[in-house]
Amino acid sequence: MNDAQQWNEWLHAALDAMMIVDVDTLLIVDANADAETLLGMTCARLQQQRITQFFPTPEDELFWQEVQGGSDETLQSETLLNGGDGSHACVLRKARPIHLAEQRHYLVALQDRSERKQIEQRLEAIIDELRATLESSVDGILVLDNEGGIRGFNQRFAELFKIPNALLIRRNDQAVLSWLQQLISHGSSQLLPWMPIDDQQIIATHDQVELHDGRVFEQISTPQFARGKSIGRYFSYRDITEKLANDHALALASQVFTAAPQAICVLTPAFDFDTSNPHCQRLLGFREGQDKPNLAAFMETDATQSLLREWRDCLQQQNSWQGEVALQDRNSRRFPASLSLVRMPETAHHAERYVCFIQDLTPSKEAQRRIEELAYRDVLTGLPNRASLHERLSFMIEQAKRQHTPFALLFLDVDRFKIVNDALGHATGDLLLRAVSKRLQGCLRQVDMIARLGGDEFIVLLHETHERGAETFARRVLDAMQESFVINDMPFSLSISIGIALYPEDGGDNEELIRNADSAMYAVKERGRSDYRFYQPQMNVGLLSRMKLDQAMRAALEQQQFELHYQPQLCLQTQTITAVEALLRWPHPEHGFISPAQFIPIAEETGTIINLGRWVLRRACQQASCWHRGGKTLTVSVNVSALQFQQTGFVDSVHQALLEFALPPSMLELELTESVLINDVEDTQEKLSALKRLGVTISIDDFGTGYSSFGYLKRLPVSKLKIDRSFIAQVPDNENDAAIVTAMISMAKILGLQVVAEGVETSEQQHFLQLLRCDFLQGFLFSPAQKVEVIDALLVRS
Amino acid sequence: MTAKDVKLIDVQQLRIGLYVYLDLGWTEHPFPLNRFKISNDTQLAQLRQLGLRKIKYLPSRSDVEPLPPPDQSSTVVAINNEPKAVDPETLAKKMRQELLEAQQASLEQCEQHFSRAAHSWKRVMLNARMEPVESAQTATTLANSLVRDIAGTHEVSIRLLSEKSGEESAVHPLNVTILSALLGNALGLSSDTLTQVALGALLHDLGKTEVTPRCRQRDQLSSALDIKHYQTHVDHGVQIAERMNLAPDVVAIIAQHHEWLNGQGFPGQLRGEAITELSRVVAITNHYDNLCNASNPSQAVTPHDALALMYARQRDQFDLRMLTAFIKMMGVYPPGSVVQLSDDRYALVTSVNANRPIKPQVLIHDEGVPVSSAILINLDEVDELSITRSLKPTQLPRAVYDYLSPRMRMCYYFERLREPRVAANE
Repeated sequence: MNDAQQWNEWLHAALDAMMIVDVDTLLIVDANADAETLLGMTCARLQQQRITQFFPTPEDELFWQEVQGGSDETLQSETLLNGGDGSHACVLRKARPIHLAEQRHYLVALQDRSERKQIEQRLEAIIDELRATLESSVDGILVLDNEGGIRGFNQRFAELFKIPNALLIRRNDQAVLSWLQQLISHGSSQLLPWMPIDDQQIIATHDQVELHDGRVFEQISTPQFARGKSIGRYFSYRDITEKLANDHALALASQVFTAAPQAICVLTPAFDFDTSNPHCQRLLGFREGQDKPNLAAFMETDATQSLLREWRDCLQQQNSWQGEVALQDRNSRRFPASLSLVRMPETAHHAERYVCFIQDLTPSKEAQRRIEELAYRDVLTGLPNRASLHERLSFMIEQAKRQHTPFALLFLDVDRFKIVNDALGHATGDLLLRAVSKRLQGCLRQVDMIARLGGDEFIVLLHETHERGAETFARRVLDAMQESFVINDMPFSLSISIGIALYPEDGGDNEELIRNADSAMYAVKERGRSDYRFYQPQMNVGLLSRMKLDQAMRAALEQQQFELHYQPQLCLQTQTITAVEALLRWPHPEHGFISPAQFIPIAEETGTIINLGRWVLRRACQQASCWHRGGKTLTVSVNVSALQFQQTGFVDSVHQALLEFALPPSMLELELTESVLINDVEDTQEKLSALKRLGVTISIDDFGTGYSSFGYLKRLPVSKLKIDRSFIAQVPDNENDAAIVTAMISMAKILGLQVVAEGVETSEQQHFLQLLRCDFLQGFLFSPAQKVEVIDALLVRS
Repeated sequence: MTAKDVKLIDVQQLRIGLYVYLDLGWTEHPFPLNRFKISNDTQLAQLRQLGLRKIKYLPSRSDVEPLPPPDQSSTVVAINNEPKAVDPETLAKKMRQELLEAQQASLEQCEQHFSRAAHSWKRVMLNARMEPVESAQTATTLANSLVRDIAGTHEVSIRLLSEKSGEESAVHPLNVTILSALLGNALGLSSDTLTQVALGALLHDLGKTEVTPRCRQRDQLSSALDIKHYQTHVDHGVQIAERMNLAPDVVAIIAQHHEWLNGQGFPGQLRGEAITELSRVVAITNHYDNLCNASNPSQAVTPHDALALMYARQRDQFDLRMLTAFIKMMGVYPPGSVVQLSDDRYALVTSVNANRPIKPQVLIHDEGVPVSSAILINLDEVDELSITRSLKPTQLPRAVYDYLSPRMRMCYYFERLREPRVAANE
């Protein structure tokens, strides 16, 4: 058997399509049956064809060119076959050199890959589709193998976990897992991607993971199985942050709806109840689930339908309606209600609805009454309060103006009430005030009004009343107070001070009337309480503010309003007037005489006393000089205030005044209180010595009320003592005072000082002082302070 | 190969013609394979300098017998001399690494050109109708710069095109433009003509903006009506092109890029010489890129398969001279192709061997070798290895895919050809 026959047998024995090619011509020499089928030509025809005709690819053409050029390489690769019958196939072709009849030949074996290629392509298409599905998933997907290595994840996963680019392009499973680990702040999950999956028990997990940036992901993990064996684990993630927030918001809204203290319901456009909250059901008296009534069922029948139509129109146009309406619940209780309707247009999730808020106005109307009461009533006594009083008073003034009728305003104050309050506590005080107010109410006519201003102060308005009526009422009140009050089995005696102001005489408006009645009431208090008094203009001074008084004083100084009055001192020895004390008087053009007791303390506080004192000193010197020139031997004594005395230039100013009016110094006497003298002993001593050197007499005023130390009297260049009126007032009846006055006079005598007794009002006093050999007397017994003209007349008489 | 085939000889006994087997890891020797026939003195010297005293050889595959065993003393001397010699292993490794790095660098540079061009192209498409003249200017500038940029980079460009995904709208026109310019260059066209062909290629699908998005890809359509609508993109393109005052040759490309020499193209069913030369160029490159970058990835074919298909079965549609030149330029396995070798290992074609197109240079996947110093082999030099088939990158096992594709890739995604959406945001 030659080579060719041998090869022919092998060829036909082979399973694959095979043929033999002559290298020189590239003609097919022999081919088996499979090759015939595959190439679509009988062997006989094939033997006239070149191999390249069937394999016209660049690779094949190049290969056969090389073979023809002497190469003996083997070629094994996939290629395209163009069959002689026009068929196409994809084949695996192997061409390798063989020895045949001493000629170079190639054996070409072929395997049809078309079917396999098609299957591959279909598989690939399926895989592509699966991959595309995984990538287009809205969930982040991560697949791990059993060792915890990453098989893959989709783009959504990378986005969700914001995986950095560097981790995406370079495989580093550990780094990716660490990235996840540092991102997740809290996993309620017992299974997270970086954890080893030891426990085969965990079949699937479904939970949440929280990220540090606040997002919350839903995590689902399931084992991956292949033929019943676990091959890895699948994790999927979904961002539920927003959904959770929505859920919470929804749950909250639902809770609010249920818990709201306001009645809320949702109505269909036909006003049928869709949903209602418990409060709404309670208010209208029906139960949810029981029935779905129509709003009309709770309204009055007459106008209901037209009303509902009106609301519907309004809701369509403006989306809301609000107003008050009368409703009627299932138990036929009728009540006023405030209704707010809001239209919610149709959306994808629900049909058009009206939200309705219902508020029962019954309690709110009651509350309104209570508020008014609180505003106009005094809580403790139930009497009208200040606000109420003012309203009524204004009304009365208006009325009185129109009708020219008078009325009276009375200011009532419980005497010493503070003591009761402090001693027995406010509770008792309050009970007492209630009892008082009740008793006062009993004194009133129907048309009159009593209000509590606060504390223990009451105001009474007496309708169309003048002095007489007011007085009658005041007396009745004072009488009513005679009977004691019994609080907690304890008897209390109370009195009341009453100030009366009359309209229109004592004021034209609320403020003025109340203020004047108040000052009249204070006048009563000053005079011993438990009395009534009509207002008098001068009372008002007390109510002038300190500030105003001070300004008024300065103005008065400029306008020469002040006057000096002089009170004579009687020399007991000669029974003649030898001295006068200059006393300041302020006849105010509006307020009448204002008492020095009122304005002097203020002048001392504000420093006005200095100017005032200087004016007094100069005026007194002027008058003294006048008397001196008139040939009258009359010493003028002037009160010097502490502030004035402490002035550096005080001695100079005295000297100046003496020179100016050419007054002999002996005609001037300066009265100082003890408190002035002890202030700065050295300075005082120096000034007094200087004054003494000038020839001015110094006397101690109000002696006995201060330190009453004879020690300093001895050291100081003082000539006179003036015993305070309080000691004189009780002599000779009061033995204590008599003893004191006796001692003071005898002591003064020992020290060589002259003594003046002030406030002498009775002849008994004069007699007593005469016995003690007092030097001078001053007081109403002889003369009050008088104007210059009166003094002049007195001097002439004596 | 069985154990009894192997014989152990002294390193001094080596000679040309012996088939040796190295018991070393791939990084421990400078040779492409660990078993080969010694073919020259350099290999002999390198073997002797490995520091091995004994080496395995296979008598059955050797052409000659080993040399007689040497004296004990001379061996000692040889060993002593070793450290002083240049370390060829280190040297070879270094060279390999440098080559890989250089390729990597030019790929990256090319990619940058590409993304700039894509940006420019999008602007042209956006404004072509409203500002036709200005857009023509921009497009011409772009065409010029592309022609200039690809000069001398043809392998890198081709490789990049093979690896690039077809997702972005600018990818196809730019692919066609680059391929057309390269082909025009290979055909010896003048530089002015090259610019015209590049411009025509850039704008060949200009009319698609007038077509419903659903009907812009031929391979997705089945109804005759849809196909007809799809075909109108040519006429629309011509209308816009005329408004742009483009040169007649350029307009012709737009008008004729779907015409086939066999008269079965559209819209004119033109034949042979009726189709302009430049249009024939673009008809080839356009068809090729549509095969490789089909809009449905599972229908796409590998560059190798596309060329085989066009040459074997669609030859009469194209100008054969040009198609041949195109194949010659691309190689049988164009750079960037993923292939499987005869020993079943996977490899990436990195460079065409102009003399033997079926034996290109490849980068081989080997799990035992780190990616940074992957094996680069010229298949021409290794008789034992050949390419048995080409694959689409997506057909590769993941690890291999990651290994062979050292450029920026989303290595974890299930769908591997996706561009990183994250990066697009940056």
